[in-house]
Amino acid sequence: MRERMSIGARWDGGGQNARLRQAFDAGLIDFVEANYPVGSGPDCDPSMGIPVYVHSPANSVASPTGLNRHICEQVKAAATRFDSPWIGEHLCATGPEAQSRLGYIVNPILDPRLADVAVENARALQRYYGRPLALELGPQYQTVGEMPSEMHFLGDVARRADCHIVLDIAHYTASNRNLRRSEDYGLDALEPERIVELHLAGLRTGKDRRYWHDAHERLPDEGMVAMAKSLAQSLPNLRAITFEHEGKAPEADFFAFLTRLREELS
Amino acid sequence: MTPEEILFRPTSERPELGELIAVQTLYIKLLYCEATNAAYRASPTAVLDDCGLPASTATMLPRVESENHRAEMHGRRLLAARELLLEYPTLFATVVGADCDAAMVARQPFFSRFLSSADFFDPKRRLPHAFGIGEGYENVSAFFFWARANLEMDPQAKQALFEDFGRWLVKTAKCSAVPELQRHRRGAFFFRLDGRAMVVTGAGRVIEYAGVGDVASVLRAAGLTGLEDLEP
Ligand SMILES: [Fe+2]
Repeated sequence: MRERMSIGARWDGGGQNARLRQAFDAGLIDFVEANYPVGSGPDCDPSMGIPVYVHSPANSVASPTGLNRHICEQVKAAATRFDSPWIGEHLCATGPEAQSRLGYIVNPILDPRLADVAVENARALQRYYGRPLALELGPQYQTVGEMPSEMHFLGDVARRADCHIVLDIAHYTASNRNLRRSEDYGLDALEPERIVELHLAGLRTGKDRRYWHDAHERLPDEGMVAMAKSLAQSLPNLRAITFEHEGKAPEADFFAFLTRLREELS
Repeated sequence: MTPEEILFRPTSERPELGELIAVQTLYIKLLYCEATNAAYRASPTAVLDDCGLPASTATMLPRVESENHRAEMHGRRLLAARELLLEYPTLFATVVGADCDAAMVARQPFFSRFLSSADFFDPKRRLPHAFGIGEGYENVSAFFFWARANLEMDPQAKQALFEDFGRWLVKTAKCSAVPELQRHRRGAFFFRLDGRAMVVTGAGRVIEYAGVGDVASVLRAAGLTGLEDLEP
């Protein structure tokens, strides 16, 4: 029999501790997923006695520049401390050098040579962490390079580096809408058994009403919820769904959506 | 090879990746820098040539005139503007307008000049990040160093820039375990254009310092950071 699906919520900082604690005590979440690195103050500990899945949006896994040793050390220490079942990492570059992030992740150039580099980095990182890596894509506004899409790039790297995949449904949906693709474009480029986790968050359009962006202050729309339900049925190794909702967003939305997730997906 | 040897080896030891790194550097520049976009639109081969790249690498770079590329650039400008607006509220109220939002900041010509500058692109031209991960993970200090040298400011704007940055510096120093930042915990000082010394206290208040004589030496001896000559 397949394991019960775990439901979690993203932790971005101490401001969310009260609502996460309450959700855990009410049986609405099984874990929090924390973005590393974090600071060293008292507000910077996501554990609160709740299991922590470790995630990092700051490592340049798909970049020929190499990675930042300090970030890798902190991610590894957190994953060891919390015995994170896998470590989520973005398949991206971050800035012009190993140590840099100009503000937001940079989607990889979809080139076979860069895929080779990403495979080498992901394999090494997985060995360095001593636990599985789960690769995630950011939202796409354009594709750059000769490979058919970022989904093909992810599928290729995950297979060759033998990694898990986090499918962020909001990022994926934003990319499909921004690139005028069908809502299920490219799923067949991923090996379904590699997907262990889904991310769910809201989306919004900009003033132009044309391009879609990640919006952690909003709830996922019905299309994204339906996709999550259908994937929860079909993916053989899916073990976790993480709701990404920022601490400033309405608390009532947070609890209502988690209740719905628990009822409909767990 | 150990994982560490693969992950953390300097790029100088990977000459075979030189072209890929150069293409990626140009790609990232095209995501932010209007000047590079204009040059690339006018002559892709000239820009590629300047970067030591063959014309064939154009297939690995954005179609800079496309609506999608412009949309991605716009989103990135907005994120960068939002980060700065949070920490420079007084400065932007002074130089952009009282109720300005991130979209208004993002439209300013000076903001474009910052995003096109070496201060923005070079991770070393910043202070170390509060989390102990090195330089290159925030734009607040990069903007200060750029604006101090390049932004035309009247007396009010200069005071606003130094006040906002001083408050951020003290606040950041207080929540960080990084020694290079901790030394700014006690406060900072700067001189207004009329010569008066202003102190940003450890509590983040800005007050005029009434002392006379070699004020800078006195304040430095008290453990305060001089913002006029602070360097990355
Ligand atoms: Fe995500």
